Amino acid sequence: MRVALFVLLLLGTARIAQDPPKPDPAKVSFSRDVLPILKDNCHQCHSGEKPRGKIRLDDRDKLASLVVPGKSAESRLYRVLVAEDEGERMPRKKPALPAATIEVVRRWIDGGAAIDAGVARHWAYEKPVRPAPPVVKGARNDIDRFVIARLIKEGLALAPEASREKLLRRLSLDLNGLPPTIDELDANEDYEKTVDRLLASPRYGERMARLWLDLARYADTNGYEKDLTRTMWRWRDWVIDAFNRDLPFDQFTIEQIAGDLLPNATREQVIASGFHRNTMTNEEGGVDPEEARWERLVDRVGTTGFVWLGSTLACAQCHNHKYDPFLQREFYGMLAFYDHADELMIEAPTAETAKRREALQADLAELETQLHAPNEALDKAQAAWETAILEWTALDPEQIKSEAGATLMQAAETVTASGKNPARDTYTVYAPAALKTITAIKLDALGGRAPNGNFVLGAIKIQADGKDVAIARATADFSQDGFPVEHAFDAKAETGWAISPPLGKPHSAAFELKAPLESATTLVIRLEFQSPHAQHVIGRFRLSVTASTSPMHAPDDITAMARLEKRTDAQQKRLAAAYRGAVPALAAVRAKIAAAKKQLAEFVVPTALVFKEKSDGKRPTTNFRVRGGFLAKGDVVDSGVPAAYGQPIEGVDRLALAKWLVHPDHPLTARVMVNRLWELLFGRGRGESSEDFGTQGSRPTNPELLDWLATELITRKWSLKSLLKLIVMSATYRQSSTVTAALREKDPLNRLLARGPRVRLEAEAIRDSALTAGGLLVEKLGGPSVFPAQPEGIWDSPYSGERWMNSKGGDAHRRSLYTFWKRTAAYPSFMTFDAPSREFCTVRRVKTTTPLQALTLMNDPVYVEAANALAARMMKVTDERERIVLGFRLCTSRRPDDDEIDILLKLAAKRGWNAAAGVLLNLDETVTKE
Amino acid sequence: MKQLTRRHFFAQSACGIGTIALGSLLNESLFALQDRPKAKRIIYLFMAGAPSQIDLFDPKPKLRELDRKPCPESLFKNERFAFIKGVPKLLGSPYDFARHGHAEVSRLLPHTAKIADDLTIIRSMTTTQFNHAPAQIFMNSGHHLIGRPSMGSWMSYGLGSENRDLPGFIVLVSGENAPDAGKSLWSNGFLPGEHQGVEFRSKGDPVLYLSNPKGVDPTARRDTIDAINALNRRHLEQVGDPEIETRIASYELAYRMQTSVPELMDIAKEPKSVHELYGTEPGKASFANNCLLARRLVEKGVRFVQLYHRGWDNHGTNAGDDIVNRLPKLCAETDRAAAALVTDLKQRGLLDDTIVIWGGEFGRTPMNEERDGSKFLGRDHHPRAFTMWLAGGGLRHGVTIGATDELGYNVIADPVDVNDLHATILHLMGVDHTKLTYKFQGRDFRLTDVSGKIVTKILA
Repeated sequence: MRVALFVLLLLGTARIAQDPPKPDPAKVSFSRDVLPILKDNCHQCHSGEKPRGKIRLDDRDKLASLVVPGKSAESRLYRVLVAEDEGERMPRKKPALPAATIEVVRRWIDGGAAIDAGVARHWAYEKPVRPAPPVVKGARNDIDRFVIARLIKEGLALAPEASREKLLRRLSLDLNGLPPTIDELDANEDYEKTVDRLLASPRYGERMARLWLDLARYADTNGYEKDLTRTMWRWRDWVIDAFNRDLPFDQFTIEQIAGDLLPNATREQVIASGFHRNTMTNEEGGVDPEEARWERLVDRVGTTGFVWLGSTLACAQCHNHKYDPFLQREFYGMLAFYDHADELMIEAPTAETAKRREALQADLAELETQLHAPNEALDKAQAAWETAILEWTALDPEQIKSEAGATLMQAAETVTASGKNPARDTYTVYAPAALKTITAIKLDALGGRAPNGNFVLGAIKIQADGKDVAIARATADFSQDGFPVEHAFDAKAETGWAISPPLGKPHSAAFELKAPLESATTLVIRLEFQSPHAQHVIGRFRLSVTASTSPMHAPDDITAMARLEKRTDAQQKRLAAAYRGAVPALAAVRAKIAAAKKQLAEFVVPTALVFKEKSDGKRPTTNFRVRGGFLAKGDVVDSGVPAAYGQPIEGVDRLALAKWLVHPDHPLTARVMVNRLWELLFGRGRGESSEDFGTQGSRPTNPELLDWLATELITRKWSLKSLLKLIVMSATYRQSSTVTAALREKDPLNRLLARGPRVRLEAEAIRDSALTAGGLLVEKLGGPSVFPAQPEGIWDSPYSGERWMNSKGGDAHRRSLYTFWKRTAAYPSFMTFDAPSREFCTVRRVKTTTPLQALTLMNDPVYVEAANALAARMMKVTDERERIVLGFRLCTSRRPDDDEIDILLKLAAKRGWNAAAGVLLNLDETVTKE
Repeated sequence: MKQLTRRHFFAQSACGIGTIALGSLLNESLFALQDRPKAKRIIYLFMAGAPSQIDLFDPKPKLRELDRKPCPESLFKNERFAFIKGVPKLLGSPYDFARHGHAEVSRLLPHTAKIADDLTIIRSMTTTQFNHAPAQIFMNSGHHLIGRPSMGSWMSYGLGSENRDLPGFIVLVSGENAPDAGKSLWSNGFLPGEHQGVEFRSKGDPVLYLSNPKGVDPTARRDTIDAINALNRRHLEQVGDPEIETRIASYELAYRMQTSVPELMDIAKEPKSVHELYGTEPGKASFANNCLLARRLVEKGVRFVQLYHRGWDNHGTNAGDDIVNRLPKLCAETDRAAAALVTDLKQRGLLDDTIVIWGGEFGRTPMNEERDGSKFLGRDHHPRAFTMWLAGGGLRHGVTIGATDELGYNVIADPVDVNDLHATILHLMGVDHTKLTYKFQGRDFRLTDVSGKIVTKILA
C-alpha cells in the first residue's frame, strides 16, 4: 500500500511522496516512477525552450520519439543511460545512474512506455475540471462523497460524529478562534444555526485575519537594525473588515494587489493596496535605498507566488526555475508590475476619526464666524484703532552693535542683519528718544535668520540715559505656541518670543513701560537671542515708541493698509480681521479658537502605507538582473506573467495582474485558496507543502476533491464564508477525532480523514482562550496595536529609544491579534508557540511541543493572571465539585468525569484554587482543538 | 548512531509519533548524516559591530607610511560605502603589532597573543554585505535576507542536543545593546520552533518564565505538574493522540530546567583561579561572565553556544566610537575572557572536540571615515577583507592563512567567504554541508545556500 502517496487533499512534501520506486514490472507508472527520474537527472538540460542538443524530455511527442514501446534495447533513452562510452552516456560528465534507477526506466519501456500524465504540462497548470462526486452512502454533502469513496478503497469508513459539545468547541475555535461560552454550551442550538451565528460574528474576521497576516508578513515595525515602528493597523483592520463582510476573494485580491488603481478608488481600497507594503525596510545609515527597494520588489514577486499561485516563483530570481516551467525572465516580468508603483504614506482616518476631526473643524469654523460676525459697535471702534496703530514714531538709531559679529545695516529706520550668521547673538541699539513722553516700545519683526525664517527673542532690555526701564506688559499680534511674548522679559534667556507658523510674515510686539519715560535723551535697547535654538536671531527689524496711554499696534503689512485712503475690499477685509484679532473685547473667542486649533493640530490621524502607480503613462518595465544580483543590470523586461499558467493576461499594469490572478479560468488561485481553508480546518500543518503546487510539491492525493472545491468556490462567487460553511456542514468535518491504535498505525497524520482533526491551537488562540476562561478578554474590534504585559529587556534595539510600555486597562486584555508585533523582538509567548516573526511570508506554521511552552503556560504573568481570574470565577460556585465542573467547561468545553474532579479537588485542597485553575489552563485539551 | 546524533532537547520520552518522531520521519537521511566528526560542539564569539582587522590582526606597515594621504582612486572608484564620501584618506593603525609564532597580533590583544599557538587565523575573510543587520544575518544564516535558519538552529536540527535538560542552541548577549539584527540572528527560520536559539538572559529570569510566580515553591510546582500530567495521561488514554505524550514529557523537562538552569547560571561557586583566569565577577552582566557560562554549557553537552558582544562599530564619529578611545576599551572587555575560554577548554580536554569561533560580520576600511569632518579616527564598514580566528577540534593550530594587499583593502590569497566558513565548520562537525537540507517553499534549503567550499588549509 502506498499510503503515503494518497495524501487526502493537502499536498505532501516530495520527501514523503517520493518513496523509492518499488520495481514491479506490471506497475511501473510513468508519472509516479519515471517522471521523477527524468526531472532529477535530465530536465536540467533537456527541457524548456532551448534544450541541449534539441532533445526535449518534457514534451510528450519528443519523449515518445526516444522510446520504442516494449523494446528498451532499441530505445535511445535507455541506450544512453547504459552506454559504456562516457562520451555517449547520460547524464553527461556525471557518474552513471544507479542500476536500480535505470531498471525502472527499462521496465517502463518494456512494459509499453505508456505516458499516463502530462509531461510538459504539470496538472496544476491545467484549469480544474469539475468532477462528478462519486455515488456513496453516508454522505451529508458532496465533500463526503469524495472522502468516503477514498476511504472505501482503503477499507475504512468515516468515524462517528463527535459529541455536540466537542463540535461546538471545534466550530467556535475554527470560525471565531475562541472557545464557546457556558451559555453557548448550555443552549441546545441547531448545528447549522451555530455555523451561521459564528460566521456572522465580528470575531470571525479577527480569526481569519490571523491567517492572512502571516501570509502578508504584517508587523508593526520595519525590521532589521533599527526596527522602528510603522503604522499599518489600518490595513490590518481592512483585512478584518473584508473577511467580516465576506468580500468575495476575487475582489479581496484585486483590492490588495491594486486597490489604488481601481477607478474612483475609495480610501479603503487604497489602504488595501498596502498588502505588499508590509515588506521589511532596513533603515541602517549605510543602506543603498535603491537596493533596499529592489529587495522589497523581489519579496513582492515571491510572496505573490506563494499566496495566490502556490508557486515558488522566488526560485527564478537567479536562474530559470530548476523544476517548474518558469523562466528567469518571467520573474522580472512579474517584478515589473511592482517596479512601476511608488511607495506612499497616506493619511488614513477611520470613519470615527474622520467624524471627530470634522466635528472639531466645524467647531472652529463656528468660532471663526463668531469672531468675524457683523457688529456695528466694533466696526466703529475699528476706525479709532486704525488711527491708534499709526501713533508710533520710529527710532532712528545712531549706532547698532552685534555681539557675535553679524553685519547690521540701517536703511531709513529699518535694520537688516547680514554676513556672519552666528548661533547666538545680542543686538544693542543706541537711539535718540524721539518723543518727550514714552509709554511703550514697539518691535516690528520683519524676518528671522534661522533657516526656516523663525527667531526666538530671549530678552528685550531697555535703558534710558543709563537707567534700566521696567516693562509692565507686552502684547504681540501673534505668538508661537509655547513661545508667548511674555517670555521676552521673563529673566530667562533660554525662553522667548517666536512666530511660527506660518513664517515669512511681519509681526509686531509692543512692550508697555511700568512708568512713562519723561524727557529721556538716549535709549539703549538690547535684543538678546541666547535661546538653545541656533541662529534663531531676528534678521530685520524696526523699533518705535509712542506716547499713547492705551497703545495699539499691528504688524507692518496692516499699518501700511491703515495708511491708505482708498482700500480695496480685500484690504478692508484684512484690516477688519487684524482688528478682530487684536481687540480685547474678543479675547475670549480668540482663546477658544486658539484652543480648537491646537486640538486639531494635535489630533492623531492614523496613516497607512500604500501603493501609487507612477503617472508617466508608460508600460511597467524593469531591468533584468543577471544571476539575480542587484548590481548586474541586464536589458529591459516588460511586465508580464509566466506562460506556464496557460492563462493570458489582459492589460499590462498591476490591476491587470490582479484580475489575472482571479480570472475564473486561472488554474491555481482557487485551488490554492480552498486548500488553505481546508488546512485551516483539518491541517496539522506539518510536512505538507501548501506553498508549492509545482512539480516538486507532491501530487494531490484526492485531486478530484481539490478540483471540485476550487470550481465550487468560483461557482459560489468566491464567497469564503459560503465555502467554509459547506465544509463544516460535511460529515467529514463532524467526525470524532478519537483514534484507535490500528488507525493511527495506518494513517498517523490523518491524511485519509477517517477521523476528525485534533490540532494544537495557534499561539494567539491559546492566549485568547486563557483570557476567555478567566473572563478577562476585551472584545473590541480593530484600532492601534496594543502592548500587553511582557518582561523587561525584550526590546533592546540599537539606535532606537522605543520602549515597550505595558498597555493599561482593557488594552492589556485585547485579542492577541492586536498585540504590537515587533519583528526583531516579537511577543515572547507567541514565538514560543510557533508564531513566525513576520519577516517574510509564512504559508504554514510548524507546530512543536517544548518545555518553554510549559514554562510559559505555568509562569508567564499573562497566564498567571488568567488562572487567578478563572479561580475567582470558579469560587462564585459554592459546591466544590460544581466549581471544578465550571472551570473545566470554561477551559475544555466539556464536563469532567469523577476521577478528573477528584484529581483537581485534591490539588485545590493542598495548594489552593489558583493552583487548580492554573492546572486547567495547562491541560493539553485546553490548548487543543479536537 | 541514531541515539548519538538525534538526541533531542524535547523528546526523550519514548513517544511513538510525536513531534520529534515526525521530524525524524521527514529527515530520515539525517540519521546517517554525521561522518567522523572532529568536533561535537561550538562556541561562537560574535563580535557584533565588526572589529577592525587592521588594528587587531592584519598589520599594514605601508598603510602607516601613507597615513592621512589621499586614498588611491582605484580603491574607492565604483565602490559602495556605508558612510565614506568624496576622496577618503588612508589611516594607518595607531597600534604596534608583535609576532607570536605564526601570528601577528596588535598590542590591544595581549591575552589573545599568548594563545596564538592554539589559534587558526583567517586573514582573508570576505562577505557581500556592508550593513550590520544584513551582514550579521548573512554570517549567521548564509543568506543576507532575514528568514533562513541560523547556524545554531541548523546544528540543533541536524545534530540535536546531548543534554536532555537544556536546549541545543543557547545565546548569551553582552555589550551596549542587543546585536543589530536582534533576535532574528538566532531565529530558527523555517525549521521547527524547537531549534530556535534560546537566550539565557543576564537580568531577570535566565530563561523567560523559568521562575515560578510568587508564593509557588518547587513542591507546589511539583504537585501542579503531577495534576496536569495525571489529567493529560487520562486524556491520552481516551483520545489516543501521541502528541499528548510529548506534552507530558515537556512538563517534566520544564521542571528539571527550573533546577538545572539556575544552577548552571550561578558561577559564584567556581574557584577563585577560574575567576582570575576569565576576569569574571559573579552577578555582573559581562562578556567575561558569558565566556565562563559558555564553558559550563558545553560541558553539559549543549551543541551550540553563541555569545554576542556589541560595540565594535568604530566609525570615529566621536570619542565613544573611535579607534583611539573606544577600540582599546572593547579589547579590554573581551580579550582576556576570550583567551581564557580557549585556555580553560584546553586544560579540561574539551578543546579537542569543541570549536571556538571569534569574529564580526565584516571588516573595516583602511581609510579614515571622517564623517561630517569628524576629527576622531575611525573606519567605515568593509566587506572585502577581514579577520576571524578559530580554535579547537579538527583545526590546524598555529597557522595564519590568507593575505590582503599592502593597504589591507583586498584579499590577495586564499579568500574565504561566509559560505566557505560555514561549509568548513559543518565539515568539522562531521556534516556534509550539501546534505544538511530542509525542504521549504518548494526547495531544499541549506546553510550554505548554493555555494560553500571547504577550506582544507585550516584542517588538521
